[in-house]
Amino acid sequence: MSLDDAESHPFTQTARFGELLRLAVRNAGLSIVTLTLYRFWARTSMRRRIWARTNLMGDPMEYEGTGWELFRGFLISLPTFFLPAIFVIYLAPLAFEPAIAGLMLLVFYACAIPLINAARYWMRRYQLSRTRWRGIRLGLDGSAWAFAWASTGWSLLEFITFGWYGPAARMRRAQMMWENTRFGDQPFSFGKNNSDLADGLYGKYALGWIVGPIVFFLLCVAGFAAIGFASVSGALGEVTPGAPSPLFIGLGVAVFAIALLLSLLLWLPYNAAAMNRTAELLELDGARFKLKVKSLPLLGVTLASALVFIFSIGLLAPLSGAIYMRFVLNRLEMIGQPRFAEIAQNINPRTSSGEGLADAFDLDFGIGLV
Amino acid sequence: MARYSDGQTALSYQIAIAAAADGVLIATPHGNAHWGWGDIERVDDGGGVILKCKPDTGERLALEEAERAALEAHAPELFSAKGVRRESARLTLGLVATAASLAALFFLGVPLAAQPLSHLIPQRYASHLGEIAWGQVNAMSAECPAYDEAGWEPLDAMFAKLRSFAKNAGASELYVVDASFPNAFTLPDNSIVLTDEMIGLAENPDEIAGVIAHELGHVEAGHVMQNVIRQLGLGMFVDIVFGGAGAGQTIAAINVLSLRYTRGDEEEADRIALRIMDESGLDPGAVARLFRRLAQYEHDAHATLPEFLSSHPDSARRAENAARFARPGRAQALTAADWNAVQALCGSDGSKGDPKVPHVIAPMEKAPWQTPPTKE
Repeated sequence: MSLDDAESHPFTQTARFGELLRLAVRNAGLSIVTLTLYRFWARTSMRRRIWARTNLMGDPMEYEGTGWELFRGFLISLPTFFLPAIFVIYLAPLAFEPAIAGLMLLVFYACAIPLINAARYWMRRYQLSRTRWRGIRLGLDGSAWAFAWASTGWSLLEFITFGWYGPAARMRRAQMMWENTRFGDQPFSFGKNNSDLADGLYGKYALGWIVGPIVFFLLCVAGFAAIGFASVSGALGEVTPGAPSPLFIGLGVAVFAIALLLSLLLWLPYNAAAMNRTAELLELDGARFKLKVKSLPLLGVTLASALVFIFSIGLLAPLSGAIYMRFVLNRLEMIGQPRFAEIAQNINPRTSSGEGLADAFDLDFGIGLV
Repeated sequence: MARYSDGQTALSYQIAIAAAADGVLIATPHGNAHWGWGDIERVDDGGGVILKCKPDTGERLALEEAERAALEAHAPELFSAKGVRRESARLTLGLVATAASLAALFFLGVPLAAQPLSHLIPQRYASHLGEIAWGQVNAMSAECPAYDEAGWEPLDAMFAKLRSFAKNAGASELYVVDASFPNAFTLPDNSIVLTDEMIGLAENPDEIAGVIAHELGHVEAGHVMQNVIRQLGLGMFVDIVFGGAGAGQTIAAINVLSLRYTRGDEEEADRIALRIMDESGLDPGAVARLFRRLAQYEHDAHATLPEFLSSHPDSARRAENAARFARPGRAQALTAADWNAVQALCGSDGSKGDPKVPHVIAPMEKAPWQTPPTKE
């Protein structure tokens, strides 16, 4: 039986917006009165809600992490991360010459790049180890540091190529993550028979990479022309040094908003294609995955998430994450089935605490996306 | 029929279950199993009911509506809202109490500890902070367009006299800068900075002496370093509690010029200033007039209060307090000729500056004229 003939099993996300909103508002309230200490339990409850409402073949996912585990991770990060950070950020500028203190800060931020990548890996490892389906636990093997250094290297390549290496880097990161991911004792494979992981992505990437800067340049020219015209025609009023006119500020904001929207529009086709490609390359014991994300709906959900985040001044960030996750899960399906009878329980030990560094770096906007 | 997963493989089975007085009987593909009520827990989140049994081997039992109703009759609590609740009210209250304790520790403990801690900070740290502060002063001020040695000498002599009556102020020096606003402030290295507009605002030398004495009060009490410690404490608190590297950095960024003293600091500096004025043989009551005029200045110009007026609840009360210590008839701090020269220092002409029209400020290094003459 070919893959085209195989039965499709859609993932379904049944969480209603109202129940997510109620939970997010409750969590935000409790986070405020506890000076955000409740955030670990808030994050856990939102994940539990989303996982529990995500079904495949009639069986829901299950999230069994606890707020205490996240809190323990946070406590561990205090001496291991916050103490050095406090020293470099607060005390070094007082204790050392500006050049030395600046160098220490530079080294700190340079170290932060691989550390953020490692934290992302640890966060995913923790989340997967707390996720079950049909009682079988998922997991993530491999070394977080190997991922961190590889990812940093890919970032460097992106930097050197002015971003052109972006699609390849994105796919390689996904490959490294997914090839170490297990459902029970069964590892996923990623791009097994594909030599070009980023196949089909570069055309869409070029739209943002080439057209984006041109449009941005034209927009800036138009903005300056408008300001120049307004200035000549006297619309800016009397110019006072240090006090820009409201019209000037308004034009600046308009140019920024249009540039942001255009940038979103130009990059959407690539982002949608990259998400779909990631699912396409994924395989679990013969079962394939398919994601059907299209650009315009992706624009809608991105804007909706952003608006929720902005208008709640970040307090409802978990709701933004949940909206996005629901959007993706409702477009994901599994084609065919793995041999479920052959997939045994994951016997790897679970980590006892999680995400301390991810919390420090604010990596997950409240829920985390595996 | 219920759905059952055995936790050993990823298969799902349709099986029969039966509720009993002491638990649930499950006909698994591997034989019959019994889960006691006390060992059963919900793993769902209020959607379809899914059960597990302690100790958790990965076995899961998903119930249809009929099975749920049958089991609920025997164990109603398991199917109530409490059955899926993970966090207790005790946890929430505990977190609120912890947050309140941490806030108290930082907002009460750090200010309390600031004074003893400020004495432990090595002088080189204070000097280093002073350098940072000087960078900020130089960025917002300009070289005096018409610096006059004749004006500097009497001002510095007056400062030296006042300083001799202040404790811990031996290393303190006075500087005058050209800025577009009237202000006076103390830097972490105990440098005292007067703006030319401040001199312009004063109507007699005793008022300027009062301002300097107030700043010497901050020096004597060590308020600047205490303030820095408070700001650092707040920044660390925000970073640690709210999580996020550098989240509180903005708050703790050592913008020494914008540090605001507490009301207690200001009152203490006032008390010391009145004592210094008195011991220097000057009339402490002279500053009362300046306080009133500065309050009026702020009202007229909608300007930010100068540092030495900030955090005070009531300038009238402050003026009234200064007036109580008035010693009328005492000689003024400077002769009329010297006072005229001081007012001409740095281009001050005795007229009140218009804060709405800023001077052209050029970035500059610490200018040579800002360094007072070396004492013989």
